[in-house]
Amino acid sequence: MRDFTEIRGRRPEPQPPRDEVVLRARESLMRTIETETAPQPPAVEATDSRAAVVRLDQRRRRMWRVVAGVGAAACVAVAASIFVVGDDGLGESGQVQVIEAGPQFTLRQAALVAEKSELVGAGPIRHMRFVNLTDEGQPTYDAYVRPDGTALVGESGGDLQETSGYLTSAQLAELPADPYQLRTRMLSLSSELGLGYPGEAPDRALYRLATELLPDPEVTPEIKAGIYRVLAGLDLEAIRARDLGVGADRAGRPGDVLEFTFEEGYVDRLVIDRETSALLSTETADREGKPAGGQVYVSAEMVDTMPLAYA
Amino acid sequence: MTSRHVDTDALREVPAPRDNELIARSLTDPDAFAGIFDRHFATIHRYLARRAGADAADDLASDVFTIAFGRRVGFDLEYEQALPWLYGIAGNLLHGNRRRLNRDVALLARHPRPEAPVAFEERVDSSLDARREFLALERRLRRLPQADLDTLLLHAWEDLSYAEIAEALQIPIGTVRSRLNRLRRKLREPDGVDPARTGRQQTESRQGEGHA
Repeated sequence: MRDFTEIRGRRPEPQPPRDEVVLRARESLMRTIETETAPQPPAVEATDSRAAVVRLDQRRRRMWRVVAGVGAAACVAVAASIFVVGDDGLGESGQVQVIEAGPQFTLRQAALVAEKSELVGAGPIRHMRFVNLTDEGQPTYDAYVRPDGTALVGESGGDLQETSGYLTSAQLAELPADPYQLRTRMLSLSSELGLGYPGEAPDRALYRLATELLPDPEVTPEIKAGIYRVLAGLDLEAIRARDLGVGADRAGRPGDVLEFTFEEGYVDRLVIDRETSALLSTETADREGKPAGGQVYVSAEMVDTMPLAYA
Repeated sequence: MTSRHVDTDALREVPAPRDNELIARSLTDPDAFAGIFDRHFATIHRYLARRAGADAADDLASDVFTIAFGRRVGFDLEYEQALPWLYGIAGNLLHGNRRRLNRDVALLARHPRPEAPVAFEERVDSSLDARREFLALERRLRRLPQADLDTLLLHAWEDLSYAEIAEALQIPIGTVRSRLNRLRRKLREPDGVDPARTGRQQTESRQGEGHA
């Protein structure tokens, strides 16, 4: 027997663990972790105006922690009506129509985004312009993200501040297009980025990561198609998806509206370009119907160089 | 916006954190340990499914990561890879639960993998012989001491290096080498020779034997 050839040749090749087995095991681990996690003191909001911009990006992440902790009692009926009575073009009652289940909708987006979208610009720097809906006056921001995930962020036309915590170009380049592999990689990434919270279904973090990746100019159309496929396969026990038909984002751009209702009773809506499947905006409301976060993605492109920090 | 620009050529890309970095981070940010789960759950599950069947693997693999989280303080951060450490925990769980595990789970695959080619005529001629040999091999493996079987399967099935096996089983690397050499000889011998009576086991270094 040459170095156990026969034993090597008769190695059993079991099926990979089923999704529910992985989710249950991960849930069990997160519960264990939760018991060890000491309560965090409340974050002290800095009053320095220069620090405010740096906090912008942290706040978006922290927002999830807030809404994730809203409470276990489901309040779906209330939440589902939040946008119907909105004061803008988003989800006006006349336009709201449940036409398809979420999974079919996102699979349709997957086909569309792969076919119709393309990378904009060239160069190593990701430039994203967006409106932060929960900031007073809803200012427009620019973010210039370097390949290492550090960035300059600030109000358009104003000073830019150094910040970090964005996905690196290497992390984006490693994303596989195959939805099964992508799902696994996204679960891992969302964990590394701290997008998940103890006790919640891992798919929640997966969803959060998807909304970070879809507006990113460096994510290829092929990968965006994979992300929509991953969204189609979300654990619908934890997240319910509905296609609300045609609506518009807060900038007035028309798009298909996909609504995710979370078990705590808050609602997240994505407005997706009908032609290209580009993600136009995300918006979250808490169980009381108050805006808890949201961004309108104005533009995204790859550029050659970083701007200087100050205008 | 701005009119002046800076060159970013010098910017360095940051690779994904290594296992030991994630574990170190989990000491202050326990959530970081979920990254270890996401990277290695499938591999550990596969190993346990090979050893104890898929049903048992579902629960055991989950236990491996819960136990590992509780023991992460003891993880030697000098090692970049957590997988050997996790294999070690998985092995301990297999032994700890061996009484309730299904002993009828076949150890070896009934049919060889395609990448282990056997000549066509050989396969046809010797199907009965092959069946007999296969059963004999399975029987011999089942008679191996647990420590030997762990070493052998981590080497032959999981493709761990000697150093990784040493880390997984908490034994010196020399013990891994001598153990595998002894197994090579033992498995070549005619069936029926009880190695416990040959005295060959005495040749193995006993230093660091702690895996039960």
